[in-house]
Order: sequence, then structure tokens, then C-alpha cells
Amino acid sequence: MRIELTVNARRVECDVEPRLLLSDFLRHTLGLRGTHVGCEHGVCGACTVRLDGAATRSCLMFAVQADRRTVDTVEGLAPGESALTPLQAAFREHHGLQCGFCTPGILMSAAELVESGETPTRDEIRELLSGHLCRCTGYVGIVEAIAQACGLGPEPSA
Amino acid sequence: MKPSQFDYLCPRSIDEAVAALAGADGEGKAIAGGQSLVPLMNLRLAAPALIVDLNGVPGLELIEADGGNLRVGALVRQRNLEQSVLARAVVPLLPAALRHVGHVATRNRGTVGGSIAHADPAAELPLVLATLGGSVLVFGPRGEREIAAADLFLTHFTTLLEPDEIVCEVCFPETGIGWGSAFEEVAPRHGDYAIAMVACALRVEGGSVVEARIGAGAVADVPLRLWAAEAALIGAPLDDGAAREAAALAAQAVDPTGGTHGSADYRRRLVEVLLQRALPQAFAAAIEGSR
Repeated sequence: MRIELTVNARRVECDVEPRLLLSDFLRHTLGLRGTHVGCEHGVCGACTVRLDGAATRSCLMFAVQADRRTVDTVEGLAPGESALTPLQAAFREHHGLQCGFCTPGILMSAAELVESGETPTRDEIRELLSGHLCRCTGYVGIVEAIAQACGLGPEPSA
Repeated sequence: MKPSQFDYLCPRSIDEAVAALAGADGEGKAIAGGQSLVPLMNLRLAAPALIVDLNGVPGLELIEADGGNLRVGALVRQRNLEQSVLARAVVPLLPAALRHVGHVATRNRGTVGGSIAHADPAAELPLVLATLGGSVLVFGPRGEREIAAADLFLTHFTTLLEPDEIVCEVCFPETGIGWGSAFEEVAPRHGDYAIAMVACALRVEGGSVVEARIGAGAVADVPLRLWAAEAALIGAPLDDGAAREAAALAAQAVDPTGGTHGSADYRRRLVEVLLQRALPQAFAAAIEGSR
């Protein structure tokens, strides 16, 4: 089937088989391997991208379903080769990543939260992160990075 | 971990969609959000020959209150209903339950109609619908019909719907003004399948409970309405003793099976404990709302 969509502000036109997952379309057809594939049944969150702005599991939809839609992946976040978004910079500052496998998915979910303009509590950030498995960091740095990007002050020490 | 081959159709009307399903000899499957169906397909637990994508069908995305029900179009995303100001006002049990449905990224795509039609006994939305005594509007080649929640859920992942019928609208009875509601569940991790969950809504007049809706989920093959617990609350204020008595009646009425995450006894006890937590919250919310 012929599909036409916008990926990271670039127009893309392709022929795809109906059963091709959006995650595999991004990685294999377009070569955007920043979107990682972990569990392929919606649990781990590594493949999360944004579909018309909403954080979405790319392993839980077919590429044909992205026809005439807008998809943003982690590659589209940074404004330039050596520049980072404030969210990405906060991840580096707070050691919010180690091996980096889960990071792209978390960044895409967190970017939706940051852009919403809401001021979440740390508990709400943790609730958001319940949809993302990280086996390295213990999450504390990730929570702090997202908190900073959402404009929260540092966590008061207990 | 890749789905097997299928034909794909994206119809532009509900008539076209049901005609496609009717012509598929039971091998067709409607997809809405796909947050339950696609995992099953990736794991090859489901291998439909035809996928009929409802996302192109117009008119299934309304959220409106008609004075009796909150009518929710089948394609409304769970996240949108969770954040709906109208839903919060007229069926506050919905946002309370929806926070437990998967994760933000799955609720962004998962639909209300899809969750109801999937009929997972551990899913929150079927429990809300059954507890409040709601209904669904269903469309098929033989026309439209309304099915009450009490008749809809037959067993695990099985509803009264024919293979060529589609849920168009889900009707949740308004339980806003005068009512208070609460939802409680225990799951191994936030967003994971519940081991046990309870939903309740109480209408309070003059300090006494005059109507009660109580249900439990993930403890049977369908969401359960707990009639005896409801009846026990009518005509009195909800104090600690009344909550304990109703919770005990609820525990007696459920007969869960044991599993990896808990024995039958543990899950029955969870229903009791969760209701002891939920009932006072619901009562307090009703009192608060009447001020």
C-alpha cells in the first residue's frame, strides 16, 4: 500500500506491506534507528514516538495507519548536530541515561509532557515513567531531568 | 514477534466497515486503537485474515451528556476521556479509573469502544460500565441495537457482539451531582493488569446513602456487580461499620481463582480491603459535592 506521511518535518512516500509495524518502518525502511525496539508488545516503551504530537507506541500500530499523519522520532528533537533541547541537556546533566536503550522512548513521552506546559508533580512524572522500563539508572536521574525540563526546582533533600 | 500477513481496509463509513466484516467469514477483525489487538498479533496469538481499520470512520469521536448518560463515541481515545472536563463533571468514576489503564502512551491511542469490545476481565473501563449499569450502541448489517452492560460481557474476551458488529457508542449513566465515586486497584506495577479492583458510586441525600453502585473486576471472567453490598448501604450514613459490612458482603460474593500474583483468598481479601478504602472516599466526595 502507498502511504504518505511527515516524519521529522520531512515528507515521506513509500509502498508498505499492511503488516509492517510503524517501528520497523521507521528503523528499516527509513533508517531512523533511534527508535528502539524492546518488547514489541507495548510494555517496555522503548519504541515510543509522537503521532500528531501524542506519545504513541510505534510497535502497536501499522505503518499504513500513519498514512497522512505526522510522526516525530528522537532524531527530530535536537535543533542541530551539536545542539540539544533543554530536556536532552537535562538528561545529560542529571545522569538520566546509562546504556541509552530506553532513552529515546522516554524523551518522546517527556517531550509531550514538557510541551503541554503543565507543571507535574514528581509523582506524576513517575507515573509517566511507569510506561518505560529502564534497567540501568534506577529512574532517579530521569525523574530529576524531566522535573528540571518542566520547570520544577530541585527535589528538597529529605 | 511480527504479525502474520493480513489484508487491510480503511473504510470511510460505518456501513462499509460492517459490510467488510460481514464478508470476511468470521476471519475479519475491527481495529480501533489496537493497544490490545496489535500485541496479540505481534505474539501471533491472533492472526486475522482481514483488518478493518475504524480510524477513518467519521462521527465516532463525540463526548456528550444527554441528561441521563454520558455518551462516548467508540473512537474516543482513553486519554481524551480521562482529560475531559465534561466526563469529570458527570461521570467522575471515569477519570478515576482511566489513570489505571495502561500508560499515557497507550491511552493516547487506545479507545473507549475498543476496551469495551475487547472485554478483558482485568480492564478498568468494562468494570466502570458494568458497575454503573451502562450500555453500548452496536451497529451491524442488521442495523443498530442497544446492549445493556449486564448482558454484554459473556466471559473472558467475549461479548454478545456478532463478528460483523461494531461498538459505536458507550453510554455511562450520569453519576455527577449528588453522587460521589471512587476507584481502587492493586496491580504488580502501575499500569499493569490488576490483581483486583473495585469501583463504586454512591448517591447521598440528607446524609444517607440512597443509591449505590458497586463492582469488582479482575476477580472473575466478567466484571461483577455486587448487589448485596449495594443493598446493605441503602438508607443510612456510611460509617466505618457500614463500610466494613458492605465490604465483607462483597468479599463473600466474589469467587476468584488463584494465580501467579495472588491466591484466591488473597484476591478475595483485596476486594474487601479495596472497598473499605473506596466507599468512604465515595461517600466523602458525595457530601463534599452537595455543599
